[in-house]
Amino acid sequence: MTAQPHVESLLSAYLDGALAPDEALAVERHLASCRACQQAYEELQATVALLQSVPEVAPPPGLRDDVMRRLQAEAARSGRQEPAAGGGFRRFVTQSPWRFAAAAALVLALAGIGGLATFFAAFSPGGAPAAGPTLMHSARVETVSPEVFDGGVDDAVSGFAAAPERVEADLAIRGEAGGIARGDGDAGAIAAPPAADALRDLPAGGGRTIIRRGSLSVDVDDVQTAYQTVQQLVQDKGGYVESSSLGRETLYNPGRLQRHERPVAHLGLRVPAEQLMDLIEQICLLGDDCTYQTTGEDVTEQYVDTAAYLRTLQAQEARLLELLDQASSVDEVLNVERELWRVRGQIDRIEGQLRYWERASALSSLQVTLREPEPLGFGDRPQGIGGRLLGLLLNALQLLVQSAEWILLGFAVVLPWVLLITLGWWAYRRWR
Amino acid sequence: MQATKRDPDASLIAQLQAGDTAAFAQLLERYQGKMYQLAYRYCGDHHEAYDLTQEIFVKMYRSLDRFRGDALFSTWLYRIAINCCKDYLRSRKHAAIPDEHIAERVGNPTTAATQQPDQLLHQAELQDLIRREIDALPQDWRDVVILRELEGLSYAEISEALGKPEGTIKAWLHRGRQALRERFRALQLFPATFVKEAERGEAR
Repeated sequence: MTAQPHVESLLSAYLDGALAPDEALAVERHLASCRACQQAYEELQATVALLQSVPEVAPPPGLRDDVMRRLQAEAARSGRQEPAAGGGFRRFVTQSPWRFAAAAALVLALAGIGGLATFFAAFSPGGAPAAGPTLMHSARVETVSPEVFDGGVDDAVSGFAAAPERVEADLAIRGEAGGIARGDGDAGAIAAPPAADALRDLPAGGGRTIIRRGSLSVDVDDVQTAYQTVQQLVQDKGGYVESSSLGRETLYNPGRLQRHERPVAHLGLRVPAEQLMDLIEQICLLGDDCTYQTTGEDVTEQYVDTAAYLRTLQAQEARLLELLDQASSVDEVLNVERELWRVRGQIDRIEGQLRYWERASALSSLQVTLREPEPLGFGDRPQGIGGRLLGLLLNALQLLVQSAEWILLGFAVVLPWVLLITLGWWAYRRWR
Repeated sequence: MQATKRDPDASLIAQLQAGDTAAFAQLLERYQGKMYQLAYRYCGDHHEAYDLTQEIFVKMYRSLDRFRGDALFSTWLYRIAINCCKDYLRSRKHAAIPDEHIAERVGNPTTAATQQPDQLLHQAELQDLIRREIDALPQDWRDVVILRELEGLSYAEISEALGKPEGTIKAWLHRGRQALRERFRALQLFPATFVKEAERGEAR
């Protein structure tokens, strides 16, 4: 009687003779001694008897023929059109629309998760921004590969055989330019009058101090040759190359799934202001499709004001020098010298500013971009309905590949969760 | 132990898979009774059981390519049938049929005709009561009780048909029987002696 609940849980299997012999023997012994379990067993037997008393039902006579008819129809149908994957899919869609909708939603959700994951991976601190796939909506995206040399990095110009010499040439120009900048050359007309009468000695430019800047872009057939020609032109005009880079850039035209790589050169030039337009014109003649832009910043007012201030300071300096001569005590000498020090500091600063303006107005800066023209028809929007259709189709294909990638990625993101949930569900089922 | 047992339907299945529809007629002869009965247990209506049985056989025919013979054909068929019945019950849940209508239904006239008229009513009421009690069980317990008590399948066969380990089947059957035992006692379906003894036992 002590193990009553234990035996009761075994009674069902005991009734079916599904217990191991030793267990069955234990149950028998217990039943002989325990009234309650005996009672439970009898009730269980009665329950089973009641359940089994439900009579069998015979199938109606027409059933067999009806099933056979359905089967013949089915056989004929499957013989005519093999219900392979398509038939299965159609049946799936029509017979379980909810499950189909759920499956579709799942796939979409996976794609969304994958896309988001890609997005966040691209912008998280650890992720490389360029590594993540991105959809390109613009018709054309340019990236310049960083094969830039500036200052003689030889291996950066692989693919350009003549590069090393040119680097040297470039450096030579820069060296000369440095000389000009220091003010001891005569090419740039840098007079740099340190303490002259500024009003009388305005820099060239029709009495106005104007800082001119320009930028220019031109398509050339041969970037290397053009690059060298531009350097020669600048030298001829009395200017110099301030910075330069030579590399390759990649063009994308996602609308037509095109991709093109071409060499490109950037040059930062300094040239005497009066030569700027000439130079632009000559560089434009090197190729086609030339676009340029110039800006002018008139600093005459500031220049005149600052020059006047300089004269005041210089007068003050002269006065202080006089005072220094007249000074009688050491104290006085120190005081005057301190003041003199301050004034001279200001004079230096202002002279520097004036020199900058003079140089900037005398030497204009020009940014030049040289690149090979796009291949014929590369950047074109597809023309005509056929072309546009083809373009859209290619876009759709690209999107398909992209979204497949996202779905896979989404799957990877969700997989640990699925495993976890499955495990939990399995444990729950086992526990139940 | 089932794996080594030869499937009595193996040759028929082979014929059927080869495209011989005559084999289907024999299989139908063999199983239509069992399938109809199972369908009737689940839906409790002869018209619906009729349709459901057709559905079961059509589904069996459609998925015949997927039958690889790792289980007995009969248990595989039961598996299809149970899924059909469950689908049916799920769809019926939305079209909720009131209990009174189910209660009005009576047993199959072909078996009832052999019994005495006064017993007939009593039997019909009792069967309907039992059927409703089975229906009220949790789904898993109900499936096992139907397959074991009404269809007479072995534990191993039920385990195959439901795709669950035998231990689980044993436990579900035990719980289903216990639940029904409680209900039957409450409904006073047991012989009077049981009840008296139970009262005595509880009073003690």
